[in-house]
Amino acid sequence: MDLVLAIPDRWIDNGVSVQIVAPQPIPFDPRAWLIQTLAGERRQVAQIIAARRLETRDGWIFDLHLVRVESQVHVVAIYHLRDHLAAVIVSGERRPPDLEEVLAAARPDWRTDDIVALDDLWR
Amino acid sequence: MISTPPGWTSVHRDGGLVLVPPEGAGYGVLRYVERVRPLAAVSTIMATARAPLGWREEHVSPIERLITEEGEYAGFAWKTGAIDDTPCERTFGIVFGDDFYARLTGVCFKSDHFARFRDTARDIIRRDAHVLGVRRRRFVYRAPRGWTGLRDNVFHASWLAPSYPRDRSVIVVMPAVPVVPGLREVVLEGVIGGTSPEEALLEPRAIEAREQLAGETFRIRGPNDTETTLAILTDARYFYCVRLDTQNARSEEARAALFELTSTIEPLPDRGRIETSRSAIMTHWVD
Repeated sequence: MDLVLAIPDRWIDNGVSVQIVAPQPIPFDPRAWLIQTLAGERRQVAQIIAARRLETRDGWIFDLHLVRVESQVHVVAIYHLRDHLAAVIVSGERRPPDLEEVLAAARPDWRTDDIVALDDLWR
Repeated sequence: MISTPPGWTSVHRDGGLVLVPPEGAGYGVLRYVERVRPLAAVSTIMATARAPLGWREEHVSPIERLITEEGEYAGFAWKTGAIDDTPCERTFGIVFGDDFYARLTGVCFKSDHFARFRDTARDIIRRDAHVLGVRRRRFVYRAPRGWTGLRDNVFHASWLAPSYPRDRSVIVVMPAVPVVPGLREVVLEGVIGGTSPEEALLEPRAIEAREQLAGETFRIRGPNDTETTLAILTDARYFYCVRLDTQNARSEEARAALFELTSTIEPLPDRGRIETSRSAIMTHWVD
């Protein structure tokens, strides 16, 4: 299982960095998880400035957060994928104008090596 | 647990069993190992099995679907090719447990004995004994077309509607469980919750199913324009339950997918000649 996101080349050219946190089972406290993902053990230096709820093109809910870690402000999108959460962390001097549009095009890739239907055993 | 064929010799090696035919190791060899995890498809097991040095593959057989004498699912296939220009055949027999498999791999170096070697390997797989008994167990069905499958745990699978999450319909296929009197009522009660059955239940109806299976579906009204359909089927030994959660607006289309799935459910295989399996349980330990 993965989160698929097409990152535009112009973002990279403009010094924007993107980190994708692969889907994982929903943590007990998603906000604490978000802070820890960004600031590690130095949780006190991170602060959520703003948050709002959006929807991807396919209808998946994602929460967009502005998080300050010391002097840097990151945009963090947390995707709710049934019983998993995935995150995209966008960092850089300037926020891309098409930020929301790009984040809304993200989608889960459910492909797995697991045997979901027993029929698959004989393939 | 396998039994050594008459005249063959067996030796424990590397956590498994190595079987050598009466003609000796120059004729061929079989290796058996059990409780291999995770569960995998026959083609994956064949692709990842270590090939003999110098192996050149020429042909891969179709995969045979087998049932062991204990009623467990199994698969069998072989590859023909050559090692240093000498024709060889590699055999693969797999017995599937709930979350593990047992694997018999072999190589035969004598082309005029390929068929006999293969038959012996197939026979060993058919008699392989795991003594898993009647238990909570996954069963075979055809996945609904276009739906995305997720394995929730060892036993449960969820199928998401093609346009999920816009269409929030989800089909959950539960494991079959041994028939217990009153189980159907307990399951229905669990879904209905505190609502009276008269208010919650819509038109229970008989369901189309394969031979040996009979069942009904129950539509149950839920809150906020949602509904649940339970398909409950039974045979003489097992109880099969598939659940669909959907919104009213999507229910007809989603129920068609549910019925498509339930019509393909195969009853779990019954145990066969248990006497033969009984001999397999101990022989390679007491030989």
